[in-house]
Amino acid sequence: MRKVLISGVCASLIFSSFAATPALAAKEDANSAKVSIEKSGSEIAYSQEYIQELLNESSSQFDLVLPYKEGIIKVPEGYTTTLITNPDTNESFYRIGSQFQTFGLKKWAIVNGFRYGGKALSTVLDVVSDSTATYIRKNSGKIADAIDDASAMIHGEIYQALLSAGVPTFYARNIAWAIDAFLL
Amino acid sequence: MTEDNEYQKLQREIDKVKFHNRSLMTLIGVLNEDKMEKTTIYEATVLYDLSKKDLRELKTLIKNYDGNNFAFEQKALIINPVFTVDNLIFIIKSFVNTNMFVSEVNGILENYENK
Repeated sequence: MRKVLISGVCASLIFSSFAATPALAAKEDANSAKVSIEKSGSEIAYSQEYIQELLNESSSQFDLVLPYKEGIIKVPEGYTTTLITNPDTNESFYRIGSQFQTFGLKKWAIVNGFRYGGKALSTVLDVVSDSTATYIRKNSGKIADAIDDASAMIHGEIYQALLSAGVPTFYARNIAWAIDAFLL
Repeated sequence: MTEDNEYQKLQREIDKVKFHNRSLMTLIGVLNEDKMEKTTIYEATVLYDLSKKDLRELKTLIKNYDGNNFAFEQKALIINPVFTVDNLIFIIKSFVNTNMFVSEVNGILENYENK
């Protein structure tokens, strides 16, 4: 009886080892396929460490704007990435921002950025066309006052506040879009 | 947890669609600078994220305007909190720019200017 049991256990062990081999092989194949996909696929355009470093450097409440590059974007935990194309210039950018937003602080920072120069102003100047940038440089105080008057930091309110302040429709549309896309 | 993730995912998609609409409107403005000097109701609808219900009720409010600006503003705020006085004037002007309800809206604007 014992012999029968031992031989049975041995047989099942041998069978299971044979049975496991193809599964293991399949698993290994899957791993190697994954590795080969990563090797042959897109390279990392911006690594998590690089983005984290930039976020630490800027220590700003604004989103991080990076020029478009072919490849994978790896953002740190708690951040999201969005690909944005400026309809005015047709240039694409990555916007990396926190999942949590503080509009009151942002409004203050945007208004002061336009009024005295700063991150908000340079971000907008970077992403608008040359003619719009020239207009902004000449009228940054007026734009700052208009944004300050906007009752809420949403696209429509900023656009309307800019129009009320006498900013021509073409520039108002572009400036409101740039603020919405890259600062809010 | 899963429902939260689903909700957040859906919310992000909705935000994306809204942002795309605004970008499209900006693109049309860039391409037709001369023709889009004045804000139309179509653009205002996208800018203020108005629903069909908002527009229908606002239309009724404009049609039934009786000269009482305070009541007009209060009723507008009930329709949508985004209809503050400045926004309301901006939106009803955009009706005129689109040649809609011109006589009614001009009457309202005249009344606002006189008071």
